[in-house]
Amino acid sequence: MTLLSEAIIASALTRLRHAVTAAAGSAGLTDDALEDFVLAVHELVTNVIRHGGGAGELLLRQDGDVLTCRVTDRGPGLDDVVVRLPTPEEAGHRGLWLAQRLSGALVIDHSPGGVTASVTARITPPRPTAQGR
Amino acid sequence: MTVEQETTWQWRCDIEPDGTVVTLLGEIDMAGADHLRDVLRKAIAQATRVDVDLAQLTFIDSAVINTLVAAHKHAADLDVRLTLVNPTGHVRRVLAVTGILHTLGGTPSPPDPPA
Repeated sequence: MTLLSEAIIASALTRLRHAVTAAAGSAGLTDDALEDFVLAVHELVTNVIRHGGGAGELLLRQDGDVLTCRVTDRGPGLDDVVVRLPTPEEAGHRGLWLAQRLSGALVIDHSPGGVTASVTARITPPRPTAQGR
Repeated sequence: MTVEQETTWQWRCDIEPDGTVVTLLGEIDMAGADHLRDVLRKAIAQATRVDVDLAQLTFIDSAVINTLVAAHKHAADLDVRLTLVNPTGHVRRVLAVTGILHTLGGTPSPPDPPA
């Protein structure tokens, strides 16, 4: 089931993040898991704006209890994707590291037309003992 | 005291005799990173100690982390101590997981900070 299908443009960065928060939240993702997923998606969107030609598409899907957000761009592609954490003194290049650290899985696909990056999150049903929100 | 309104975030700068406190409020992402850099550089130029209060900050991304790291280095080059104080919630977790809190954070917050 498609929850969200949006064009990525730089001026929509914040609006997209809020839309993903609302849609993933409505699907049942909560608290830390929701915040982590939203930041992971945000980092992928940021990458499209900075390195992926500045425009692309975002697709948020729900399949059972799994949320998948797929971000596609039409940029030149990444020759070497290095997903590592820089030392605290270094500037730069934490985006993809954060995306994979905060999501269930980060998958990057290269094709001649561009790059597709996906992150997933699993919705866990609320425990009976959990306080209502 | 200076107050400025941004679209998703605000900052406040309190200049005190023993240092400057820059308070950040709201959500800062890539779009606000350049402006944040200018705010921090201005504070660093005017003080020997800058505390960046994150208590009311609810979102940061990797671009903002880069800005904080660069500001810390810029401050150190000028013998200014820049410290991140009072991070909470998601901001705190992101700073912790990237190792930034350990390097740029000050003394740990009290166990029961006022709400």
